[in-house]
Amino acid sequence: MASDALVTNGLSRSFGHRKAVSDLSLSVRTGEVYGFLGPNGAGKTTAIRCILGLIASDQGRVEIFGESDPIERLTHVGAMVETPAFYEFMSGRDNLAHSARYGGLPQESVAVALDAVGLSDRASDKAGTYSLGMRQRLGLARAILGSPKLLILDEPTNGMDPRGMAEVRQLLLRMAEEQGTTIFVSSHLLAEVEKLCSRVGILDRGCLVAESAVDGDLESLYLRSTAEAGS
Amino acid sequence: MKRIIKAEAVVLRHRLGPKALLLVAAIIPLVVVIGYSTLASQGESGLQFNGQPLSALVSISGQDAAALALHGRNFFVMPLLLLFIAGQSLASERSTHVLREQLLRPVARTRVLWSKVIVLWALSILSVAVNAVIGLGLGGAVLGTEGEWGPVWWGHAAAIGSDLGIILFGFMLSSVLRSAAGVMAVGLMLLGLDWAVRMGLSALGFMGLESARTMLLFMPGSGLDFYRMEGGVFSIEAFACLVVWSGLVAAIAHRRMGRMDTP
Repeated sequence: MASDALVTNGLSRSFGHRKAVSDLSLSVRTGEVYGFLGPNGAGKTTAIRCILGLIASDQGRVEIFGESDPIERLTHVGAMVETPAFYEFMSGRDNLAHSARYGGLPQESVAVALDAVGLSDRASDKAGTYSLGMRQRLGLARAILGSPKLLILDEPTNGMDPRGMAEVRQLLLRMAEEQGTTIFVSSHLLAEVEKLCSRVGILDRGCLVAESAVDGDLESLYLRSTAEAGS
Repeated sequence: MKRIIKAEAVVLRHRLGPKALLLVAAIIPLVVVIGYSTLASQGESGLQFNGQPLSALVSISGQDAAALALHGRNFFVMPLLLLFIAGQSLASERSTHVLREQLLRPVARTRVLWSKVIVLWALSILSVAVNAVIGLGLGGAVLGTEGEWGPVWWGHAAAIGSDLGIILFGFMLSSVLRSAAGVMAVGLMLLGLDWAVRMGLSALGFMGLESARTMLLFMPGSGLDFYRMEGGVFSIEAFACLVVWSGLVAAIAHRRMGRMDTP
């Protein structure tokens, strides 16, 4: 039986009087590609930040491969949150080398990751000269450094052209199939999620309003769930 | 922690601030030595003040040049640059989300903070060494070695402690502010305020108010002035003041770093 890669239990976070995430409980099984959907402002990014320990949750518990310690649980995680940020004055390769040092990962993993996202030929250019799509690729390369067991990606194809989106999708599917990487991906693009994910959770106003396998009409499920939650 | 220190050192090497800091650390003693040697060479025919040649009024020796270069370094320029680089290393990284990317790795936030502190402190030690080599070495070679060198040597050593105080102060400000410019501006404002209060207390002390002299000992700037080695003696009060204030700002920065939300 497959164990859970990621489990959140009663996760909540408020900003002032506004509840950004409310009692979020979900589990992502090892090896699956899980889509995290929801309208703008639903709380997806806040939930991801809580999971990654970037912000503290008010309540609830997060476990990644059974580990709940906020530092230890990141050991097998690669992540990209919103638009990735870099040292603009350093090259793409140096940015990744920096991240590899921080994570205690071998420097050889830098070239592998750059090759995987098709950035090897521009790796020596300063990150400040990269286009939005290239920055997304570099962010993805940083996330896959050292082949993590769990990838947490927040809008990974944001700003990419259709070819770039297809390439990223192929890369993620390959990682899931060949390396058994578990992928937790938030996105607005239902068509992309439909092609990539095996299961989705839909978040609206901070609450998980639906969870389902991707085997039918995702758009109907999405519209029905968010409409019900809004009513 | 060694790998994070190494990663931070690489980033610092790429920034312009550290290069400017080392350049300034070299230029200040160079300008002072050149200025003093020019003054000494002019003799009777040079600049005059109250009918007396300036070279006769000012003590000119290698030791004097090195002491002045140290004061020039620590009085304004170095605090300014250290505050700016501390602000770049934390406050700016936080607002540009680069810090977020670092915290996505399995490292304790406080280790990230202390790695940044250690790397910047190492840079400041290097700048003290540059200042000392040019100020003491060139000053002695060009202007002679007469005078008491002990206090100047110790002053350079003590500057390492004063720099750490400024660095910790900069990181404390960085943990609450969002830009390097903000850290520099607020830092200089607070240091300026401290300087003004100390001037006032000194004046009151001079007029015989004993409690003002006592209060003066506890001002943060009295600790940061540890490098001055007033009268050529090690001041245990200044050292204790530096340790206490540095410990306080370090504790605030440590606590803030551990708890702050990372956007």
